[in-house]
Amino acid sequence: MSSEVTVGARCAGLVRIYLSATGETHALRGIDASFPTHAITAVTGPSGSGKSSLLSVLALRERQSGGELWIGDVSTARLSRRALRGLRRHQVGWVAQRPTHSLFEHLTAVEQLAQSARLRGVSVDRSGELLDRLELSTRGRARAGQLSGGEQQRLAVASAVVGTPALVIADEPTAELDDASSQLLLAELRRCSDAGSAVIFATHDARAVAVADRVLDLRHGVMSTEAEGDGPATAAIDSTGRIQLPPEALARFPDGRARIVLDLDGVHLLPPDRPDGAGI
Amino acid sequence: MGPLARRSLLRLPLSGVWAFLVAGAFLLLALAAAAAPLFAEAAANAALVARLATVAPGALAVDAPVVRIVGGQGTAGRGLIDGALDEIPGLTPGFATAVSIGLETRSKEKLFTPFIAAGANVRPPDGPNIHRARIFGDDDLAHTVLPAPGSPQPAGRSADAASLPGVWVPAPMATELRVAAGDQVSVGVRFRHRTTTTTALVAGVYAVGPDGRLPADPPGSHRWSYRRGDIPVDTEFTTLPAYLLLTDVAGAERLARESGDELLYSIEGQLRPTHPTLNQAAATVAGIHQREVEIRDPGESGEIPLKLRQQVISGLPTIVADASRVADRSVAWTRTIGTAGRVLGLLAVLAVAVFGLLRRSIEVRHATGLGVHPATIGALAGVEVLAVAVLCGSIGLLLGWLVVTAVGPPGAITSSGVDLAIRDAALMMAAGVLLVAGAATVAAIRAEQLTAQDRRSRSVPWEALLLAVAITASAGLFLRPRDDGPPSLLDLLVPVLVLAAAGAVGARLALHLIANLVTGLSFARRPVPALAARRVAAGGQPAVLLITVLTLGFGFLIYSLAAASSVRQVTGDRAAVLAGAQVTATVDASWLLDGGAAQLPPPPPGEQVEVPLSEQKPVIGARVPPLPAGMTMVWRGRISVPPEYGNLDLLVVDPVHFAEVASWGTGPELARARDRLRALGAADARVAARQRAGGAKGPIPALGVGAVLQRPGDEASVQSERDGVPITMMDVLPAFPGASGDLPVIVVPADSFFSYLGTKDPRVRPPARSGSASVASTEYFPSLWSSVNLDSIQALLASHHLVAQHVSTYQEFEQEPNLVAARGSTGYQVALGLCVAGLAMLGLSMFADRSVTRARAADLMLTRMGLGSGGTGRARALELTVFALISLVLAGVGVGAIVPFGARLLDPGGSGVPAFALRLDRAGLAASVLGVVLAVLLALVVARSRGSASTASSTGEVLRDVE
Repeated sequence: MSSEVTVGARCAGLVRIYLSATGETHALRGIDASFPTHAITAVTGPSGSGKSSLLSVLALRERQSGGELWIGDVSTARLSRRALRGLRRHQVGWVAQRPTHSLFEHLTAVEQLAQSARLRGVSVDRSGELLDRLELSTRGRARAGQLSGGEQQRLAVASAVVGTPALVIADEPTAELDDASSQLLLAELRRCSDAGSAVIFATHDARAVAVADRVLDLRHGVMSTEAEGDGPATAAIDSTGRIQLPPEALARFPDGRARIVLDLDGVHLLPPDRPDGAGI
Repeated sequence: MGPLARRSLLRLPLSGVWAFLVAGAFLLLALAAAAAPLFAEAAANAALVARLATVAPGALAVDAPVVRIVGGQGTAGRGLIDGALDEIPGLTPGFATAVSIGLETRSKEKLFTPFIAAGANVRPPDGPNIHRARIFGDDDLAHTVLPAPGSPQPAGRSADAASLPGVWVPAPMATELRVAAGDQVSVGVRFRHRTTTTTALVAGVYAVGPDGRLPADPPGSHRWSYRRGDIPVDTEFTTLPAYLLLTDVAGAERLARESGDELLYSIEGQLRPTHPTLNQAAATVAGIHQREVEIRDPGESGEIPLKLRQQVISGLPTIVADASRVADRSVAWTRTIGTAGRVLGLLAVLAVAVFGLLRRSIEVRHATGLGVHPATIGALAGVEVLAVAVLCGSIGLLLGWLVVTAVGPPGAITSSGVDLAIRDAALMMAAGVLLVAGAATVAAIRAEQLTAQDRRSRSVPWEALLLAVAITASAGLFLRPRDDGPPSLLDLLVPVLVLAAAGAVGARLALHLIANLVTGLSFARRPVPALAARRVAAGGQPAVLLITVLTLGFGFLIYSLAAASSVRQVTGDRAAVLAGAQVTATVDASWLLDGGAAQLPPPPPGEQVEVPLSEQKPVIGARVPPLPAGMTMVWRGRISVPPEYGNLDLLVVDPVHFAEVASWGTGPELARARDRLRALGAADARVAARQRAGGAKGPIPALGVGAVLQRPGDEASVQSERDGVPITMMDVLPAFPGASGDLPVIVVPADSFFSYLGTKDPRVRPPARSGSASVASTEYFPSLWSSVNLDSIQALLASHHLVAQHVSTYQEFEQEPNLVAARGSTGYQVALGLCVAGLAMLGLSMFADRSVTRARAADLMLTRMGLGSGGTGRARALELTVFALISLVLAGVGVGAIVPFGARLLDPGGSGVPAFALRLDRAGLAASVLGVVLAVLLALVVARSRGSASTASSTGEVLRDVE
């Protein structure tokens, strides 16, 4: 991580509720997190834990149902549509779970990069290097539909990182890639992070988690743990005092009840029938 | 310009079948836009051509497409006509005429007899070498004189100061005077106390017309017919036209000056070209009106003392007004269809725009996610269809011209009409592009909205709503008072709604039914039908929508074709009922045409005793006049039938010849009438034979037409002025040729009916001493009907020294504005039906494209599980065929539901006979079936091509892209 750490995005009490024919689905239940620049943040968690929802809200593709979101120092809560559009255009690079969702099917690889650069108001001079790094230089004239899945995903990442936006957000970017492609893609994300972006991706892939500077683990829409580098994971406590126990800890409380014991060493959670401290 | 903008220009043309669908929508829009002004102009010009065709060959100038300006008498009159036609556009150069009016202007003279005599300087007493004749100067003799056999052709000017003027003499007069071309004649005027004379040369001898006096028209010319009302009268027999001495105007002036006659000048011009456009003719009429105003308000020229009233004589204002009325009605009839076409085109464009945006919803989200402005996304969508719009606008214009030329009114389309069509097509193309851009902008704005609350997706029961709207609209149509006007938007909306409702509700039911049947199909034993059936049953909302669109498309095609054939049939039948035959002409008495007609003996001296009809004996030898093939004699009368005593029309016909000559149209009502006429003829033969044999006078067989009170088998007595004639009603028919009035009609056969009248038989020549007043029957008015043309009638009448009176033709009745308008609109409606069906066909192709794309992974798996690529292809073909067949059946059901509304939707005249009925014709059904086959084939080609592309992809890619 660079020493010039600032916050690329920050959220507090972020809630996202989806309505469906069968009722409400609470995808995010009050997420408090910050996403520093010059760092890669991996968001992990089982399917349905709210990873994609969090990324969509961070990328300004969805509006949160509650809570606050800042992109850099800008609170997005009361921004006009025009201002939000400006933020998306200049500050956010997005890679969807399916690479075709992040590409224009009728543009060639070179044109995809040129279009992204044009929107961000940056030069396209370095797009050749970018394609080289992602081993796409021979596919520059190929349209998106003519590329393989791995090539499409690399091109999607290339489009997202053009101009080094403040936030680069990718939803499971390595999910369908082989090892070599994954390495290329993650290397590019690292390069982008080093250049100053706050890179955030959701993933199940251990290879991707390994390159991340920070790992946020979500469960049931709630931040469970947060870990930086090789340090221990810390459980997250939300603003209402809730804490998400990891599964192995939760297994110790089969009744779903815990006794809280406060002492000078900290806070202890004990099963109600085990006063001997067999809890946490 | 970024890559998105650059690529947008050619993106659509590279989109395969999608491009065809978009192009189809734009083409429909362009066609609808361009066809309207082209149709309007063709209708206007066709109306004028048709109206000009109704001008009878013997029409006077006041009814004909000519303009004659009567200048006046003497030098002033001559001065007025010089250049009088120059200010009126669209006329041939005027030719001056000068006609003798000495008799009419010299009222103080007791005697004024212009004459011609053989030999020079003759001042004759009455005798064989003198003949009454009046001078007629004509500067266009070369085109108005038909030389008698042996006479030279007319040349240029016949007289100058040094030579003698040349005159053309009528053939009968030349024979009588024994003069020929080159002979000298004396032309003069006998006054009470003096005779003036001058010498002229006989320039030639001209043939005379049927009346034996007026010059005959050269072939193709009707100038003397036009002039008939302005020919000077015979100075002795003033009810007859004078014999004319034809010369040019200069010659006429010299002869008049030297003989003491006076001349009335006029100038006449004809339409140029012969069949101008209605706009050109209207400009001519405007010129005529301007000239009339100048004549009524002469201004400075008003001081010219004229003894005869100046006037403009022309039938053009009436002709143009009639044609304009027909054209206006035609345009009114098609305006709704044209508007519907444009609305449909815009809806089609909107539909493809929306459908396209659904296909690209991810791309739109991607673009908005990148921060592209919605307006930019809209503009890109507009740019994308720009090339297609330009291309389709041009093709639509050409297609519109072809359609209007092929199935529209047979009128000329000029550059002004084309200019209007170009303007309208361009405007509509611009509207279509803006619509696409607008739809894309709205979609982008919606995609850009970062909604915190997702809308609950509830399925709207649109099929039920559509059914309710269709029922409401249909009820509204039924409750609306009927009128004879052009169709309204509701008239078009009802078929569309009924068809759409039939498609939507029927699709839901059909899919439900198939879903129940699917459970019985074994996938293992019959995998292809089972797969197809499962896919059909699981089609869901897209399948219902597809079937609705297909039902609407095919149903509207069936409806349009049925409407076109029904309207054509009913308009033809109504013209046949109104006209009776191709040409009819009244004559004074039928026996005038029968040299062998029986004649009544002179009545015995003393008081006449009226013999009741029931005691009358048939006149021996009385017969229907034998006429050439293609003609028959028909008598009309006015009768009443007790006890009601309401007025009825009586039509007395010769059944055998009437069946051959009358116009029978193409509909079942007149076919039935023709069939019953045969039965009437057979009954007539039996009754007439019995009457001739002196048997008991029984009732006359008769047919009732319209609202007669009798029923088949009833006996009644028809009452004319004198007595009653018993009849037996054989049948009551809805329509009959010639039963054109508002009154019910009784049709009786001539032989038995007139034989019953005995000495009152109008076919019988009156006694020899009867005066002319007794020639015509006062109860039964004969007319000559021909299935050929007016010439045949005129030739027959001329051979009996008769002239046709009150001529009416089938074409005249065919020109009734509502009938013309309704007929003209049918082609327009068929074109609209074809376009809608075409869009439905493209819709099926789109569905096939989308189905194959979405089912790529499933098809791949099924192929590998043993079904093979052939099996999945057959299943897809079966699936599409089932959808098309369901739609065809539902289209038939929908059109069947519209049939009861047929008269309210399409009847060009609510009170016309026969009544309008919407009938499905085989050609329409066959065309629709062909459309279904083509739609399926096209969809299969698309599916196969899409399937091939999938096969070419790697398995991994196919499975990865599964949505």
